[in-house]
Amino acid sequence: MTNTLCRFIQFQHERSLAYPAAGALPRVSDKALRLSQNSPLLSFRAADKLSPDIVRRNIHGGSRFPDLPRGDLVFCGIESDSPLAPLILWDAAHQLQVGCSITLCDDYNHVSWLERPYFQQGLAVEARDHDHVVLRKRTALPVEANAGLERWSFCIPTGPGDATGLNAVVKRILELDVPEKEILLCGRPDRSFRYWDQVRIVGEDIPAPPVWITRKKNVLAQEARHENLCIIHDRVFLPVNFMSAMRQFGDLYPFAGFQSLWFDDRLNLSPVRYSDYHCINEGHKTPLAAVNQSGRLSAIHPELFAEFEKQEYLCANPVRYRSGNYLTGSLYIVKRNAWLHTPQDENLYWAQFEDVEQGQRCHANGIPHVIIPGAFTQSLFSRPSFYFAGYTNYMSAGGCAAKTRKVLPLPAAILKPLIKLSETEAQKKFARFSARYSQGGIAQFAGECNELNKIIAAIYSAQLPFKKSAVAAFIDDIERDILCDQLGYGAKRWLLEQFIQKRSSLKKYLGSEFYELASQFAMRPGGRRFYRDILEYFPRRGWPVRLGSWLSAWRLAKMNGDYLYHPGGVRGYYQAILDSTPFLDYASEERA
Amino acid sequence: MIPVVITASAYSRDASVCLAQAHRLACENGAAARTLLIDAPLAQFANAAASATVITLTEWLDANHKPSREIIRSQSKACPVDKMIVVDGRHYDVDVLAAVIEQAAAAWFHLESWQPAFVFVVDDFDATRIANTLFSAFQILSLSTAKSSVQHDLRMMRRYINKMRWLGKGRTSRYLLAGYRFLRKCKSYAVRKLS
Repeated sequence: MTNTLCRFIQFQHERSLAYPAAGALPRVSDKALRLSQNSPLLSFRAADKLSPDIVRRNIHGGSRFPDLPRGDLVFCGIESDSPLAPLILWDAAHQLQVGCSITLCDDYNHVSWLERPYFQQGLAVEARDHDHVVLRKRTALPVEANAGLERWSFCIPTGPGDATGLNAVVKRILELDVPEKEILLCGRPDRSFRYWDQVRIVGEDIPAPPVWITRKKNVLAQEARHENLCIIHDRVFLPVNFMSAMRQFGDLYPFAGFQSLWFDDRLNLSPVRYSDYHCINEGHKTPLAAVNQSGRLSAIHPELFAEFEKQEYLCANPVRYRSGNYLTGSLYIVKRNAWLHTPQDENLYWAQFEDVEQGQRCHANGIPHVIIPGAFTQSLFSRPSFYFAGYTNYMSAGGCAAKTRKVLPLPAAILKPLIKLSETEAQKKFARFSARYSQGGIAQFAGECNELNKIIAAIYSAQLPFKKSAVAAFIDDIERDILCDQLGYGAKRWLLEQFIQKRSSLKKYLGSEFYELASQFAMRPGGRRFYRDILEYFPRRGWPVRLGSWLSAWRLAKMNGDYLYHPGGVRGYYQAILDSTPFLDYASEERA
Repeated sequence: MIPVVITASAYSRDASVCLAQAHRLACENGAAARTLLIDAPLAQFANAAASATVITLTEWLDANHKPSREIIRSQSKACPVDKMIVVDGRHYDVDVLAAVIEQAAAAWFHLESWQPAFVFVVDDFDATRIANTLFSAFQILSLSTAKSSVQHDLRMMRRYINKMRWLGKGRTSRYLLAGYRFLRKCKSYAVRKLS
């Protein structure tokens, strides 16, 4: 595509996306043909009396456009014909030479993507009419100053909890064939951390609780020495082919991330897509007037989070780009200048939709969020609230909301723990709950051997004042000490309202139909939700894991492009799964 | 906030002593106490001072002699936090008193700080019943943890868990469950016919 004599480059969408083909679109306008007399014309449309010199087929949300001509360009109908326009225009604008122009021919009674705040630093509107706009590149765009894929800063916000997972994550990063790298931690890890001399620690003065994740990530970006940032949570296990995937994806990328898996078992039999790339299903209408009027989520009182939560959040389709798609906070691969241009909002804390807010602001600023195909990450740990009863909601390639369920119940012996909490800690939490609400304390439940029995008895025996703050505290204590996982804002509000109406009899619901609690026990036969040894999260190398990975690869490849995407088919999935599996030797030096 | 009931006879003998008694006992017993029932003014509280906001029940009733939620709510916010609430409910029907207590509990639910005691002065005959009503209005009570009571709910929960584990949720689950119930009906029909 670098042929400078090229007159007309035509794009074609990937068929499964059901985006309009050239036959369904209008023809290239005469104005566009006139304007492109001396410049290449790029469009999804067909042109009368002009055959395309190059046809770029099967374009989807994971596509890059590294070889667009670097001189003046003319696009026709790009923004009205394709939701992938932001990706094409991003690459075109960054490869454009300074002094050259991009002409966008379309119905322009709206602001084009290239006029958004990010591009205003480098592109200036030279001419505008009702059917076209010309932008000329005055200076390099911010991300161009961070060109190059050789130098990386791996940034991990962390804290004082068990460092087993962090050790595994850092060990994998040290193995990556990155020419020049540094590892930054924001927060001081536990003393069991093994790689003190391989990391740099910043931001130790950031207070907690609550977890000020936004401040940590912003500090990491500011303190990073290299231009390529990989900001990950301390449970994200990177693939061993990280560098090859990045080189294949290309430089000058926007906000990007890998698809992420969580395997519920130690044989890689039960994959679940976990916290990577999400979207909001626009079919659901929720009362967001207050949010929109204020313009920024963080300007809203936290009580409105329950309203915001009512929207349907789905795993975004990796090949179907939409402007509402955003990377969840687990993994960001981003150029330093792009992050500094649109950092996270420090008025928000962890689990306050800070990733959603940043994603929406990025899109408003002109920076898309995309997926890097060809490699996966895996999550070392999970939270059951991300996949109730094993279900994942996702956006299919055709643009419809769908759901999939992990493999039917597996034997308890091969399952990983459900909640990252030791049994000892869980018992302490239960004892704290009992001491606070039950007159006899934990002693009265000593005769109960079944965990579910104990929980129900503890809830039933609780007595508390009929006072809003006391009831809210009771619900918070159930969340922290019984569920040991996060309850949604809406669920908490519903429980509070039900306590007002039904008082003690609501406990009957908690004892017989409490959805979140039932979901946890449904996912763990035998009721073992916690770990005895944290190494239970890490599979051992051997043929059982390879066989399980192969079965999962076969299953995922059948849904390729719908649930996940990998260009390599079954073999590609298999290799990607193995490349990102956190084996036991990463977590345990003794058992290596 | 301790719920306190004072009988009409005690109140009419020496109201100030009864209120002082209520205040002192409420402060001493703390939040763990059940409802206090004061049936007679005790001499040792004769000199004790009590700070109280006294409300006659008519202030809380509307034209139909029913408790007015708006009035009770607005008054609940206006009452000083350091003074007991004393409601004079003598000569009122017990059903009216119960309705007032329910509305009062709903109004006081949203307040951050409660007064040290909520005192109801009632006729002697109604004192015990109102004491129980008053206590349960301002508390979320514990449920019985007897085996028989818990086992039933536990069975329901286990069924729910198993249904979620094996049948999932949503449309597939409903169809499978409907199919299972249909088969059970067929089986019981067949058993009836054969017997």
